[in-house]
Amino acid sequence: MYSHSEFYWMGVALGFLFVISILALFKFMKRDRPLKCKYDERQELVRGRGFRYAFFVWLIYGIWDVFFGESLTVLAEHSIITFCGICLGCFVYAAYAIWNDGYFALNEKPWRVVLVFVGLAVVDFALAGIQIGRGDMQRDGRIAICATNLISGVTLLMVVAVVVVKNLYKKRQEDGEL
Amino acid sequence: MKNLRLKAARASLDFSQQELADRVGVSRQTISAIEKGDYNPTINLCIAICKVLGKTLDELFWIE
Repeated sequence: MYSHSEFYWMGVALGFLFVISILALFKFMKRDRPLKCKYDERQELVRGRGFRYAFFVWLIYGIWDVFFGESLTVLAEHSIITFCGICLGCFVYAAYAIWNDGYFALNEKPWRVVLVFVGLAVVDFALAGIQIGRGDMQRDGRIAICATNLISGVTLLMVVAVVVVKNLYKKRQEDGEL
Repeated sequence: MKNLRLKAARASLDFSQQELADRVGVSRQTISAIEKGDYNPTINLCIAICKVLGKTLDELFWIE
């Protein structure tokens, strides 16, 4: 029978501990304000439409991947090509919802979300930096699975960029109205 | 089509879009979209807006 090393079980235990501590943190934060995001009817509509667009983009990417993805495996591992599709779908959803004012909930402060995204991107880039330093980013001359950190970091920064551009656009529009 | 009657009713009570949105429980952008005619609200939201502004549905949303 296959048995796991003690490091595996330590990892599992640490994972559980991490999840429990996150839940405890949320429970603690929940005391003064509800955690559930509230969206109005127009925002729900926008989010639904964004999800639909993201799904179809992901589907088209998937079909493209079936027929032409193999040709890109000389550059990157296939798992990376698949992961790019998921990130693209997430970006389409986020960008559409942000641009149509449906992404941030009524009881949510957008700058907090942006801060979390920037923080996550920084962690992703730090991990990517370590992997580049170790030389793990490439395997047999192809981009390896370790590049997921770099790709998700870039996706998060792209989402933050959409928030910034949208705010600038909104500001310009409001200035024009005055 | 722009809903100028809603905008006028809001302005007559000296409400900003944000104030009306807070009272109705929607985002400011939703009120803005209704006024611009970019979004058709549900009957529930129409009623909520009418109650806050002290108007009838006909006065704010009926189109001849």
